[in-house]
Amino acid sequence: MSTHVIPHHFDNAEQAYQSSKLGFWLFLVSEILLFGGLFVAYIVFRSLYPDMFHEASGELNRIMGGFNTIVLICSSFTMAMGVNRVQHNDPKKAVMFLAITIAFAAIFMVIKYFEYSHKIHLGLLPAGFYHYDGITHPRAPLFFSLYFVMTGLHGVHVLVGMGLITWVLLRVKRGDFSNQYYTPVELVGLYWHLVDLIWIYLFPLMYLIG
Amino acid sequence: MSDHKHDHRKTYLNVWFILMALTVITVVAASINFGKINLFIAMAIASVKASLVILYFMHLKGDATLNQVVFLSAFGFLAVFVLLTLSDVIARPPVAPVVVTKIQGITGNQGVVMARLRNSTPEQIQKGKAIYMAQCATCHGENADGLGPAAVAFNPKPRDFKSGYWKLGGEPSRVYHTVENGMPGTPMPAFKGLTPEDRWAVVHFIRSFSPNTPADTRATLALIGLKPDGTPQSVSTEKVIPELPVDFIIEQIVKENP
Amino acid sequence: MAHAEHAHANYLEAKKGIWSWLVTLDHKRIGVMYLWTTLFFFVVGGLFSLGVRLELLKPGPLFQPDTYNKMFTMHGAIMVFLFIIPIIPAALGNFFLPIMIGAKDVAFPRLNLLSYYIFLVGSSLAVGALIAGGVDTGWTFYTPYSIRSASHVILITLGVFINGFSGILTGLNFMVTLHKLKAPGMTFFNMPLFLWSIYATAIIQVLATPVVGITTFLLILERVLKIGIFDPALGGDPILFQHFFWFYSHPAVYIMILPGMGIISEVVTVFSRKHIFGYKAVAYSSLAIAFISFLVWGHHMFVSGQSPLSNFLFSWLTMFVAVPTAIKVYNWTATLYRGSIVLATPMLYALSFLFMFTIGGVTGLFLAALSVDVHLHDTYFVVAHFHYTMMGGTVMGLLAGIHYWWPKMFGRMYPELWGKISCAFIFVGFNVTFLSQFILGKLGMPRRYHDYFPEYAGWNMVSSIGSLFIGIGFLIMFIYLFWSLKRGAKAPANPWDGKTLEWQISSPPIEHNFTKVPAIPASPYEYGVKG
Repeated sequence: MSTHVIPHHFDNAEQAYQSSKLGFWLFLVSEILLFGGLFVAYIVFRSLYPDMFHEASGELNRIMGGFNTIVLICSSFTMAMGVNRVQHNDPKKAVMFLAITIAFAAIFMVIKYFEYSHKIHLGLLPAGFYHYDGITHPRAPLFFSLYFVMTGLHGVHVLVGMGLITWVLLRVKRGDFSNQYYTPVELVGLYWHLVDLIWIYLFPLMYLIG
Repeated sequence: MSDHKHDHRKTYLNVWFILMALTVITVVAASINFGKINLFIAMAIASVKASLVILYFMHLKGDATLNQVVFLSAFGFLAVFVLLTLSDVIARPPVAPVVVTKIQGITGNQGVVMARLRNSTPEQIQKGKAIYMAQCATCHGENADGLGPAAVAFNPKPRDFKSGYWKLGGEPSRVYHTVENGMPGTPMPAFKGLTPEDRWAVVHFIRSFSPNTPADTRATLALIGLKPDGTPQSVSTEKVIPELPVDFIIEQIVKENP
Repeated sequence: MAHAEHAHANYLEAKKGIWSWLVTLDHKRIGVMYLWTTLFFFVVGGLFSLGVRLELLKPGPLFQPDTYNKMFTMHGAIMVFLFIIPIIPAALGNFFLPIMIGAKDVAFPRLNLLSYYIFLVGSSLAVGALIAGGVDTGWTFYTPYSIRSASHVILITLGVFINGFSGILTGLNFMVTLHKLKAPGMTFFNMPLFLWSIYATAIIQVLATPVVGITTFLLILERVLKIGIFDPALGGDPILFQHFFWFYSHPAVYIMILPGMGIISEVVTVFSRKHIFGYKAVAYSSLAIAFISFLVWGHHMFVSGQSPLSNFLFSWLTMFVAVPTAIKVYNWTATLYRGSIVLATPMLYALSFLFMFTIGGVTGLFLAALSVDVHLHDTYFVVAHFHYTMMGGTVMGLLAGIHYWWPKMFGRMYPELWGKISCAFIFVGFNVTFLSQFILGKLGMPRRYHDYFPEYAGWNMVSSIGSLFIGIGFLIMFIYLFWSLKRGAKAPANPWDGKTLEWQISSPPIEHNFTKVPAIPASPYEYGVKG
């Protein structure tokens, strides 16, 4: 059972829990604005060169992108289930769901790896290194700059998420959590859903405009 | 610990199912060409999916009002960022071709330049020597004695700068004025083709030979448009350059960064 | 009983040794560490400014142009990112925020310490850039020059990027603390106004700092991966960089000034022995400034080639910032009216703030007006304007705060006479330095040039001499502050007759701030005299 001690400067567990949650929502706000900058760049260039985006997006693999979307949605679902199981004192199932979530994240990264290596092979690289002659529009390299930066930053978040989920999984296994204290699991869950959320927008904006 | 009493598993399953269905729908919709509406359809579906994730997976529905306000404010500020940036990007006038005008030497704050150049420096004298040899020596002589090869044909004879005598006056600004405008009624031409810098260089060079070099006076300063104390009239009344002398600036930059 | 004694020792003596400082979770100690670190950077940045003024003392080059470019860049970057943004919230805010709401600590003490170390890492990178040879882009890192510059742009922008996380986490920590950790009876409307300003600052830190994060991140990628988003040679848009940069950096200006305003609200009230005039107006105007600060960034770009539509919108929106700002100045002035004014050093700084910040604010309106800005843009008028707000405003607020809270923080009084002398030096020196720059700017002297025409010589000489006075003022101040740490008179618990909670506990405070849950007064400024 839980051996969690409430930090001395809090009056009770509820206050500590609510504080952590508010803090984490604020953190997610800063994450949204971090990615927001990239979306602003995307919107600006898309409004300037709509045809280029149309043409360049055709080079992305819709099947891989779509499959990855499904993988992330499934992982979001298993994450929610994992948190739910921790809250209901069911660590065994919780560990299972968290492990599946990590597996989904890994699948996502593997597919991403194949996508990236294919693009790199073709020369569809960020603007300064771009050397592909299948697209006529002169600004097409910008699309791939945005593609790599946006999906790259998202990919980093996936990797960080995998680390965090592994961490809470180990703690669940050790029996750190119960229906009285599960804050870290819930917060990691929120983080993971945000990673999913960003991909939900990245997918149509990158893959589905060709 | 607010909501762990409820079991959300069924909700999660439903949400998961709807999300999967919407993913399929958005892929199918994208492959049909609706024209410009395609983007709106894709964004609408994405927003529905995002809302489901936020409301049910992240439990923003039923969370504290403060947390709801906090999270949604992110999107509000993001909208400000997007809209005000777009107010620039989509409304920029087309770029007009830059008009490049060749401007001889330094212009613009001419008075300021004049005020600075009228004091002799060794560099100026050095520079003036080269210009003198090219432009003046034929008549005034290589030794500044008025005995250049062409001098024989002239009447009156070219000035011997070593004599200490100045026909119109030996003040720097007066000599400058003479170089610029020539001496009507004599063979001395107006060197308007030289830049102000070059003219000043010549002035300082030839004055370096003379035993009689009076200082500027109120009247001679006025000749070249300076105030009695030798400072420029006033910045605000100076001529403003209507167009950017691009090549002049490029020249300067190249000079400073060899 | 060792434990009980230990619990009642003051925070400076409760634990011994350098290690106890390095791993401390005590918000007071973390605040003090921030204070010394940021003051160190202030001295470094200040020395660069003296270098700049030395070059401009007389026409004609003294340093190489490249050296001059690096000096003003490092002055700007260090002052902005390593001193003025962090110092008040992270040092004074950290120390006093929990005490003022009757809490034992901030909501996340570990995160607080982590923020400090993140700040240290980011700052070290910036200092690394300095040691490696400096940066010559100006503190704004405008593209495309910052992509091409051979100086150490990556190091310093990485430093800014990392420092950003420190700011975000500090802001987040403060917001949660203010929402969740107020002692019973403490509400948003009977907490000191300093905390309202810290709260408004925290909002900006959380919302705007991520954008400078992504901006510097993209700039680093521009240089490493040639992504071309801001590089016209690769099809990108350099003006987009300016949008990104100012979306953070304009609100960041209010990260700098809002906490200063908060200190002024405290000091003006305490040294007028009178309730603040219009508590709610001052409180809400902090939030209004924070909100409007997000709508005005384009006024830095009137001559950058931004669209006429944006120019119009941003010029118009910028005027609105003047309203909440003027409300504050009005309320402070009204608080002074018929107060029993005590002219101690903190109050002298507060009055200096009122005088100079008003000049800075009003000249800001000149610059917000589109047509006037086209004339004054990138001249010394702008330099003078933002020094009047940043130094005349924030630094005066900071100095008021440091003197006001010095007895509480270190348990010693500073020497009052020397405080006044150094204040006089700084006040006179500052105005001599920067009033003359208004004139130079109006005459058309451009900023960031290492040389100028002889006609600007007179006022430049005046300005440089003024900067020497500022330097002397600060030298005196640092000497007496260090002196007072060991030799100053022991400070009583409440030397200024303050009514806020930090004055109800011992000087310096004990490790956990309060021995029992404090009684919260109905108002933080109960002087029995109505506002």
